Amino acid sequence: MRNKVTTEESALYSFKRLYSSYGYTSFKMNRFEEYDLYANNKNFLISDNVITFTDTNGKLLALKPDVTLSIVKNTDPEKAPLQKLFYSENVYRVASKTHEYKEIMQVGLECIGKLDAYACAEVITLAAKSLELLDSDYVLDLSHMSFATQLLQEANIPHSKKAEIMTYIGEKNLHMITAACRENGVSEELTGMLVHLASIYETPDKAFSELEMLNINEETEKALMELRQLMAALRSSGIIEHIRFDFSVISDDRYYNGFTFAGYIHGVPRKVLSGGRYDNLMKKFKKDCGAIGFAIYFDALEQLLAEKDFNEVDTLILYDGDSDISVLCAQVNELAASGKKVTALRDIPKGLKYKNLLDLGGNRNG
Amino acid sequence: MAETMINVALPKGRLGEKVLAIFESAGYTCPSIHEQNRKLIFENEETGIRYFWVKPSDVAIYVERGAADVGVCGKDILLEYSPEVYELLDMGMGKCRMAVAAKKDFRDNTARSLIVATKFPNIARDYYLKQGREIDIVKLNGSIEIAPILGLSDVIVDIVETGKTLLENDLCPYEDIVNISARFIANKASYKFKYEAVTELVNKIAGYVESKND
Repeated sequence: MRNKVTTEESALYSFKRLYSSYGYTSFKMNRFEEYDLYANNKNFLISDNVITFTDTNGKLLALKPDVTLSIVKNTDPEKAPLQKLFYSENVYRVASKTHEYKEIMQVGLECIGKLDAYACAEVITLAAKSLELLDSDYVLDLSHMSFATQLLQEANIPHSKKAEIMTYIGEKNLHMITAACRENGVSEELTGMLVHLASIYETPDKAFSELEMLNINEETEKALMELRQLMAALRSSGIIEHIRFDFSVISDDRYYNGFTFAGYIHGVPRKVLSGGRYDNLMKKFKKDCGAIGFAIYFDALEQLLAEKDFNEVDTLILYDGDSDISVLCAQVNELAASGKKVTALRDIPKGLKYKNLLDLGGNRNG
Repeated sequence: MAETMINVALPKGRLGEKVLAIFESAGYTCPSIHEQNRKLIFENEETGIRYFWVKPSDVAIYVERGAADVGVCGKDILLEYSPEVYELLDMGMGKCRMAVAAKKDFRDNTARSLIVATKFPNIARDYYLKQGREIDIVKLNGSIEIAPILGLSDVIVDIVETGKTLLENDLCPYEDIVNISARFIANKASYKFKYEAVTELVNKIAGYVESKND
């Protein structure tokens, strides 16, 4: 069977069961959050338009556009050394192109505290397993921020230029990386390395030899070691064949460091899962610990999880004012109890598909 | 017969015709596209390609939403709409530039906000934001050149190819914003799930484009 979950409800249920079975606990939060939280961390948000309103006390509140910030705000690394949390919440965003408000279901997971190699491997395993629940044909693109940030650090160019080149890396835009590097006097060698980094799309085995060529300092050495350790940890999990090393998966380095990853499933034209390690965000909140997590976007899954048989029933029972209601009730109950999808209506709606028709219309039969 | 079909969104018009010629020269032929009829979609199972013509400004939308795996469109469209796609190749054709143009006697009065008429509000906003200049955007859909003449705007932000249209309307280029050319783009999911076919296509097109440039 290709699709293991077929509706939004069953997907939600499956994700929750998966995360609970790995010891993650549910995190429930308020629909509203103080606006300041987002105003101070605007760059962390996918869209910078936040829906705000004033509460009865005159405090400026926002419909939460993101869950991670609220979780980070509310976790205390002093109290628990490692917190494993998951959530399923609606978030509110402004669609970038249509400028319309959207309510989006989001499921996610965060692991916050004293992170180690195992914790990271576990979160990435759960990201892969989440994708597998949606479709066995999935890809998890894995990246490590250190390569891009260290190469750009080496290039010694202003922050705005770094951000520009980061965008090009994200687009696998090799010609623009070359042009921007040339414009900013970056050496040929370093330009070549950045182009190489952006072009990598390989299975882990093949990618390691290419990454060796991009190993320029202690930080990239550490990143290589972390990637090797992760692959060793995942060896028995059966997910390695779905992993591709792709260093175009990058996020804002003011928040993210270490692993970043993105998930795609066959038949959905865009990213359905996105995650990474965000120790830098924790630092902004003056919390001295690590954090890694991911989110699954249900708006991307809408097509996949739309009920395909929404307009189909097994049995359509037609009745009218002269029908015997007790017979009607008994028929409907009996069919429903036998596992059939049944609907009792006075008229046949346009477009409804049904396998059997039972006409209990007293008048028509009479 | 090819195992994977690649859906290609081509921009209607002169640029699209040139792009098609390049794709065909690179081996992705499709005889049915040259027949005179009203069909919109053309495919060749042998070469594994399916072409369709769309409005140039819509190419990025088709690719971003996965209706097309790949497509070719101007950098102006990519800058204006910032679609979530991979930009894999500069085709080196359809070259022009995005520029600010104004009447020949235009002097920028920095004491008030600048009125900018354009088809590309995001590019214009971004450009002036970087300069810290306050602007008032007049979004038009065509005949942009007429705006400064009629006093609708101080300047225009538009594509300039030769500058001939500007000259004929007593306008002249004032500042260049960015160079534009046709770019080969790919849907991010298609890149993963049709990796071999998409990269083979890009490499062949890149090879052809390079040989032309040499």
